[in-house]
Amino acid sequence: MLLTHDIGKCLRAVLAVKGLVGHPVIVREVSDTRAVLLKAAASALTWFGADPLPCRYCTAYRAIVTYIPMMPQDRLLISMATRPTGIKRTMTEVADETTLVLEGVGRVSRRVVISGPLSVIRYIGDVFLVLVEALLGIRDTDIITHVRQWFVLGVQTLPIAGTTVGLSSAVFAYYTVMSLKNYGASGLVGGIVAITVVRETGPLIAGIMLTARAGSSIAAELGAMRASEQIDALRVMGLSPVRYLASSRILACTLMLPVLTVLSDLIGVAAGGLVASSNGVSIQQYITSIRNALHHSGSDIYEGLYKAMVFGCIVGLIGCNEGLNSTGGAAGVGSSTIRAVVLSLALIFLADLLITFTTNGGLSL
Amino acid sequence: MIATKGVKIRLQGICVDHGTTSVLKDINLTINPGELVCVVGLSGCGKSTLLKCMSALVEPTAGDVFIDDVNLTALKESDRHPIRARMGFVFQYAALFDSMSVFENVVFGIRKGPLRARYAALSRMAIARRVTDLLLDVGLVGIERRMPAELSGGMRRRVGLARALATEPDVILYDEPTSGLDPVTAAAIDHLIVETRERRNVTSIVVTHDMASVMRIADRVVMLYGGRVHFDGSRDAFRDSNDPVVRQFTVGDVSGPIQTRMHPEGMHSDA
Repeated sequence: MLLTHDIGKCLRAVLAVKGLVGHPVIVREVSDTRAVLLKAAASALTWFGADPLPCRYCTAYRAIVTYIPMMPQDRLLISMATRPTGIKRTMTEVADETTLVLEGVGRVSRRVVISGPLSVIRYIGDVFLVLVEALLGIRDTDIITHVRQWFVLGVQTLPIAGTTVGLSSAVFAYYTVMSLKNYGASGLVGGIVAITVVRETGPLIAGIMLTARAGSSIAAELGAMRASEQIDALRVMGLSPVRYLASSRILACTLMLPVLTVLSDLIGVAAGGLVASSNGVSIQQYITSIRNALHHSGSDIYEGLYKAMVFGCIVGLIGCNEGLNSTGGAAGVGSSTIRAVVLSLALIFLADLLITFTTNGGLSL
Repeated sequence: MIATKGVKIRLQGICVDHGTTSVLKDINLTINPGELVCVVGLSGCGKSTLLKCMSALVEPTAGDVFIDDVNLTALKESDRHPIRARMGFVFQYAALFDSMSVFENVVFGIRKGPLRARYAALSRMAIARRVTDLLLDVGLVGIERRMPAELSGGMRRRVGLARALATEPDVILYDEPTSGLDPVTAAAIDHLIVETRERRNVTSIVVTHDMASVMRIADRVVMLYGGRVHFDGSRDAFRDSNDPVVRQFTVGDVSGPIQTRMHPEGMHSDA
């Protein structure tokens, strides 16, 4: 669709550019008021994926030019209607406008109902392929590169992960002990804090911090490499960017998040203990409560570590996929970083729900 | 210096669309072994896209790319690696790996590329000597330990060329190697391109819109206009052409059949 001022001039230009010379088109001129509305409509349609072109010759928007695809069985749709400004619209034009609206609704519907789900399926497929290739590439990457990634993505995330888990555990312990005091059961606080931290908040908050620090950094770094053609340079040298760049990063996130989680759990439980002890619970009571609450088989800890591995894999995988597929230069790097962070967080919470329910017997828990 | 053999590149019906815009339309081109071809055209006419099609960095919408009669476009990505390893690509802004030193950049293909087995027998000293020789070939001395960020544009491109030459490619693709450089450095880069072709007999394809470069280095000139091959002939024929489009391009005149007003999507129209 083209919104334009000089119908004849712009029509010829657009038909030439679009390669539509000889095809049937509908041209209509509109009033000033409607021109403003059409400009807004053009912006909206762009957002929904339509293709309105700005005028090459002027800044005003005074007409609509619509291309009608000529189907072999539908040769009768040859129509070219023009009229000067100010003349009342004909019924044909009203019908054409209705057609335009319906076309727009159709396009949006197609996008929502068909294109949307298809793009989700395609994205899942792409991510799966990246995962498979990255796994195959782990052995191709030298140990120095792996260790460097463990340090950059894992060790350097520890301070912020430990701090946030510790602070949230302290707050949680405070509210818990204050509530339990009313029932004379404040001695149970250690067990409640330990189970919550080990099974849920430890891996979850550490995962969120890994996303914020490592996931965003992976997407931005790989996106910048793509924008500066370094990814293309790798490809043209006969190397797979996924194997060379993504393998070590995904592995580092997957292996280091459980380590971060264990250390963050210790900090979180210790922080809870400090708060509890300052609210009348002895350290002995706190430790005894933890021992009684945590399952002796270690299943609580294993569940937390299992979650951490899945979350870590999600962070690395999504960060790498978004970075390697970044387009649009510097702005594209920003967009891919945002997508990596948002998508990783959403998937972490989804995975948390699924793992919690599957490992504990579903909603009947 | 090891002599390499050039390869034959054949493009057959190449079309590339970006969204609704046709960047390249039915490009048919054969580049013979050892030939030095300059691809010229207006900014945004698809020169770099054509170069990236030759190395399958850009997938054509239609058509095939043959490298020595192997259809590159029909191969899986993993099967393209050995063919790409025979190519060197000098990117417009060098595309050096930021996190690596000059030495590591140049040696990268030798140590990590598909042809690394060929160089496995070389000692560390021999590899270091080879890198020094390559840098010397492109006129750089004693910068092995420097990082790409510490280099000027001209030095980066020279390092890019050294990196491309490291694995002794049979074809080198140059993407605007002299754009944005001062005339002296540009002439030095041109000299390197010609010297590399003469010493190694590599097939060379140079994308540029620098007419001075074209007149210095080209055996043959291919001009793209409106997404198609508008001119294909010798350098002298290009210089002396009476075709209005070629004439306007070589002279650099505003008036003529070439539209100076840009299409909103960045493409020049067909006039």
